[in-house]
Amino acid sequence: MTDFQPSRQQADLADVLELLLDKGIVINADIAVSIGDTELLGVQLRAAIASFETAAKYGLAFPEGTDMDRLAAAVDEPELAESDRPNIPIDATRGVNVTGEDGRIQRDSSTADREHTLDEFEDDDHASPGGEDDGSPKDEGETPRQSATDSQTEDDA
Amino acid sequence: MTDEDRRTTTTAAADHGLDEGRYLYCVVALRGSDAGRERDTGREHDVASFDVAGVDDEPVSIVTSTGERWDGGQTPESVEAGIGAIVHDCEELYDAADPRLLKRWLVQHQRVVDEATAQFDTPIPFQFDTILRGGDGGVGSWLEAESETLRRALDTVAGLCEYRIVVGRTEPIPTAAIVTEDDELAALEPRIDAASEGTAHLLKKQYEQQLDSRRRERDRQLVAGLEERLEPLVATLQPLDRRPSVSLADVSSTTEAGSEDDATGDEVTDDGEPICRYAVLASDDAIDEVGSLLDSVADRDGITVRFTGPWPPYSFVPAFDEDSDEPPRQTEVP
Repeated sequence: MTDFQPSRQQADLADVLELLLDKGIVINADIAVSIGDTELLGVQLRAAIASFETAAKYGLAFPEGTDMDRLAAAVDEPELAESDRPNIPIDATRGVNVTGEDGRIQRDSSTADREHTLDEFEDDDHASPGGEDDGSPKDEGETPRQSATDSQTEDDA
Repeated sequence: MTDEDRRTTTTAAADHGLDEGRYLYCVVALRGSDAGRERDTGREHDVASFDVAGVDDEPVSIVTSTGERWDGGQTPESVEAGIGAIVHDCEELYDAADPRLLKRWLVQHQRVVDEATAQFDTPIPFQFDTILRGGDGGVGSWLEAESETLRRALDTVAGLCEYRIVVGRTEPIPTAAIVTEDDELAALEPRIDAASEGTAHLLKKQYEQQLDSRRRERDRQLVAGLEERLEPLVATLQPLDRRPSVSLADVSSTTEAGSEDDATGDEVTDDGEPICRYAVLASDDAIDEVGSLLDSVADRDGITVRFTGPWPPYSFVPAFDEDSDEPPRQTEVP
């Protein structure tokens, strides 16, 4: 009848992105983990997603206190360092995907202002347990687990 | 990898309680069957042939509300009618800054949900990177606890798919086309010509403002007309923000710039400035009519229409906000 039919071939990545990253079932409960829980998780994923206005709406924005220099080095995206965030390291990225990415982070951070790597921050945190807790999570009810204390216990065990 | 690294990684996984994680793709309706065959029709059952690689090439399985599990391609002795979730075992959230890797994961996720659609009719899809703790038992308990909501949602979307419609304007409506139908603007033109320089400048500004306002009004009428004719054709019509809520960071500055798949779907260049976007839930039968309608819209000068689908009903899933004080998500179940 008509020659105008829906298609999924024509550069439909825009749709896939929105459908899979912004729609679909989300389980907002302690039994589940999702990219919405980015106070603690999905930090690198968040760097790959560009539209922060909407990201902020869904609690995906960079938490206040994110060290943008370090993040910029970690994701090889120098412009991120120009972003308007205070230069205070937080524990939001601790322990997330430390494997596989270490080499690159190490290399890149050698040219950055700060010499820290993810591992060094781990050490920092251990030296002063809970020291960064006050500054990190701003959105209420968005911290399914506060990893600083948990991991401390794990390490001691 | 040093021992220290290994210990840190293990600790990280334990921190997030994902040692028994199940990555969720979608919830499907299972029909009752014996030995992989449907009881009623004798046709080979869906469960038997469900075999597709998931995100990061992980093998996928089906877990039912009773906590039963079938791995991909496995033919169960019998299948009780009920609901099941397509899952794979995972220990951590999928997290990468590389947009290419993220895209690959998204496509793999989508492929599983597409396969589920082909085998089980329309599923209820999960958002990418939704992981449930507590192994198969955890998945079963969740399915059981939410079974009423899930069944209702599955019934609602049965036989329907999501389609996306974007109407864009590539060229502004020509000034002449507006002025000929607008006495006020037509009257301004000779006044501008006759006025002194200062007055002409002010009048011209007024003229431009009115022109803009008329253009916006025309677009509003176009949108209202489309909505009015679209609504009766589809099961649900959901207006979306004019711009997509999610896009990928520009990857041109990364080390391997220049590859063709780096295009991030920038709609503005190809399809003009979006003037409206919709997610619709519609049956296959309705799509011809929707297509004809969109055809008539796309025929207008300076207008493009993008019509994509069929997609799983990502925009039409129920919300599960058990213990959250966040504002409810923009989801809708008709």
